[in-house]
Formats: sequence, C-alpha cells, structure tokens
Amino acid sequence: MANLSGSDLTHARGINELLSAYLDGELQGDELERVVEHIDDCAKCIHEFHQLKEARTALRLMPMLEAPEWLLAKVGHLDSELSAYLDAELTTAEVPMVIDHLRECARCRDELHLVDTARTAVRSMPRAEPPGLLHVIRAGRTKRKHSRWMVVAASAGVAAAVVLTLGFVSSTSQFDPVDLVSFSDRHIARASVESGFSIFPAFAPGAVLP
Amino acid sequence: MNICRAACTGFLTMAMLLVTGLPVSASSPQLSAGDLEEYLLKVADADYAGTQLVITVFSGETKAGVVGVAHASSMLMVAESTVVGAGRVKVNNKGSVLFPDWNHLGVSERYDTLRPVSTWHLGRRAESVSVMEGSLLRARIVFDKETGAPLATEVFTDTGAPFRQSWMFQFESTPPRDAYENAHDDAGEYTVMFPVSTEGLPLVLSGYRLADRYSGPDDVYQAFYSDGLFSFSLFELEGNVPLAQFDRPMTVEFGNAKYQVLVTPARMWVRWTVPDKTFVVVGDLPPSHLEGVLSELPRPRKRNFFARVWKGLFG
Repeated sequence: MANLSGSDLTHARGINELLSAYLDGELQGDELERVVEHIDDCAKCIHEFHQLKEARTALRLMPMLEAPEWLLAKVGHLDSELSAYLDAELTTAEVPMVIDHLRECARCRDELHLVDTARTAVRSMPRAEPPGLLHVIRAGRTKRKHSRWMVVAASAGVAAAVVLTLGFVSSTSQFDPVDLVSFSDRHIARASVESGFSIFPAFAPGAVLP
Repeated sequence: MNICRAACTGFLTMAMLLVTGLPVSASSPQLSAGDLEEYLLKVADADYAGTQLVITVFSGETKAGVVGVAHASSMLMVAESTVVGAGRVKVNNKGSVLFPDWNHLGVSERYDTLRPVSTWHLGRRAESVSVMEGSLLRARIVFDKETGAPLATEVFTDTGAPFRQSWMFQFESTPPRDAYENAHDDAGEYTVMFPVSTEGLPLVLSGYRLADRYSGPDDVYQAFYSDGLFSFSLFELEGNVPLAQFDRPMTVEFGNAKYQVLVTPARMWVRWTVPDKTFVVVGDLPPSHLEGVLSELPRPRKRNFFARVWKGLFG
C-alpha cells in the first residue's frame, strides 16, 4: 500500500479501497493505526465502514451458488478475471473459484501480483494539476455568465467597426491608378493643331511626362 | 551759322527721336492679336532643328529639361522618337493618339504685342516680340528672322517673375532628312478620339474658350480650351481615380481650396475630386490663369464619411 499521512489520506486514495483493505486485514503497522484514527474522527468514513461491513456480512450469509459455466469451462489460466477480482467486480460465486485457482496456480499468482503492482503504481502517480491558464479560463467562465450582454455588445461593436472599415477602404481605393502619359499624349496631340505656345517643342509625350 | 544751326537742330531732333522714339515704340501696342497669330503661324511652317532647354518655376519648385527637336513639314519630331502634329502623337513608330477633327480658335483679343525689337540669338538675326495682357507683360518670344522658329520664350507671372522659360542653345535651319521622312508617316495603331457634345460644359473659362470635347478610352472625357496663346485640357473621370504620377504630389491652395499639383518642365498638372468624379487639368497656362480656370470649375469636395462608407459597401 502507499504511504498514508494526515487525516485526508482516505479521501486521497478512495475510502472504499482502504476500508476494504482494513476489513480484509491487509493493513499493517503505521498504516493500520492511521486508518483507525481517521475512522474515529471522520463521520463520513464511519458511515462508509459500517455499510461495507454490513455488505460483507450479507454476502457471507448468502447461499453458495454453482460456479459459472465460463469458469468451469476454463482449462487454462485466469486473465481478465484477475483484474476483476482485484476490483471486487466478481460475484460471490466467482470469488471462491478464483481464490481456489490461485492457490493451485503459481503462474496466476504471479500474474495477479504483476497486475496489482501495476495498479498500485498507477494509483501512486502524482495527480496532475491543470495549467494555470485553465484556472483563469474556468474562473472567467463564471464571470462571463454574468456579463454575457457585454460580449454581445462588444461583438456588435467589432462587427460595426469591420463594416465601416471595409466600406471606408473600398470607397477610397476602388479604381486602379491611371497613367498620366496617355493624358499627356491626348493633350499634346490636340494642342498641336492650335496656335500658341503649344506649338513650341515639348518633351517626348509618350516617353517622358512633358 | 544757319546751316550749322539747322544742322545742329536737325541733329538734336534726330537725337531726340532716337532717345525718345525707341521707348515710345517699345511701350506702345503696335500689333494686334491677329498680328501675333501671324507670327505663330509662321512658327508652324518653320523648318529647323535644335536642342532646347525648358524650365518651369512654380510655388518654389523648379523643373528643367533638355530635349532635341526637329521641325519639318509642320510636324515636330521630339527626341528622335516622337512625332507631334496634325492632331496626332506617334511614339516610336507605333502610333499613339489621333484627333480626326477639331475646331480652330484664334488668338484671344486680350493679347496685344509691342512693336518687334531686332535682336540676336545664337549669332542669328532675330525679332523679340513682347506679348501684353492689358498692361501686363505676359510673354516675350524671340523669333528667328530667317526661319520664323522660336529661339527663346519667356512667360511671366502677374508679378513679373519668370514662370516658364525656354532657350535654343543649339540651332540649325535645316532639319535632318529623317525628320521629313517621319513627318507624315502614319504607321502604327492610334487611339482615335471622337468629338462628342460639349453640352453642359462652360463655353468660356476665365478667358479660355471651349474648342472641343472628346470621348477617349476608359470613359474619360477631354475638353480642350484655348486662348490662342496658352491652352489646357480638362479630363473628366468617373469615380475617385488615383493617378500614378501623383503618388507624392504637391498640394497647392487655389481660392481656399486644395489641389494636387504636379509640375513638369513644359506643363502643369492639377488633380482634384468631387463626389463620383475626378478632374485633371493639364496645360501650359500661367498660374494666375490656372487659378481663374479652377475657380470656375467644381471645387474639390469629398463625400461625407458615412456616404463614403455606404458608397464603398454598396456602390
């Protein structure tokens, strides 16, 4: 079992698992003492403990059932049943059959030990905290619920600004630039038949802006 | 003594005439606008070649350029690549623009000329003609006596300051043969400008008379105005059209309105917009004339902000 420390250990690891281990006589030493102390102080755990104890008593009083067909037909070794056994998911009829098989089968005992070790290792991994930003987002969600109208107003404002900007931009530059050289040609060509300074030499109209 | 006295009196009279006669003849209008037009028509018929310097000074900005020209058979060849005359411009033998029809306008009655003064230019006999606009010296032109070609011109502002000047600093009375060969070569494709109705346009703008209006490419209308000495074209474009050469224009205020102005050695360009239209004026007219013309045309005006946005969004 993992190390136990403090009064909140039961809530960290799951009250049912610890109480079950306690009832099964699996806890020892300091771990046993701390669970006992915690049960004495924690009303919730006392309540859970009594419920679990009653359930076990009831199970023991139930009549012995026939072994299921799947288990009787099984010639080889246990596999998924081991995990179910550890998770207390087997029926009362299945549990004695699995226990009897484990007594006789060294390979399944080894397998059970590996599965249990892996489960313990997974459960003992540190709990990952959400990134700080997530806290901010979560906190923000609460606020936003209360100020949703502000979001709507802001969105409308942004949309209006975009529309105005688009309208302004398109109104200011909707035509391609015109080259003045062609205008220069037209003016000089027409002026060439008129008297006046226009008949005096000009710069090459088509090549250089005159 | 009598002979001596008569001789002295005659000498003094001659001296008085020489001293006082020249200013009198130089300050009194002796030639009419029609006489000025005769000078200008001689220019149109002159054959010559040379290299010319042109300078325009406007609003603190000076633009200058040098170009080689050849005038033959009433056509002007510019920089050996462009032929101008008879209502057309041909660039590099490719054609450019052609006006098939036009109305001719004579020199405005507002101009008079002083008696021509004999002078010399580039070692050639010449005549200097001063063009008066009322009491104002508007221009001075030096004509070559032999060919009638303009050897030098000066245009003055209303304050007497030089606005545009040109000088031939190299001149020959015989143009090269290719100038004659190119003069009436019509090869190339031309954009033909067709005359359209002048209805709705002012017939006179600050003394400049409307001669024609043409429809050109891109739905651009061109109205041509002239007073016989200076001329300008008024281009009318649909919409707010940017002009490539006006990327960094000079802004000049005429009559409390701001215009974009582009100064080039031989001409000035003015651009402005009103709602739905862009106007461009190009011409060689002096600043005070330009201001007078602009004052009689629609003034620069912008659509208000929301109208512009609406126009931009929905056309």
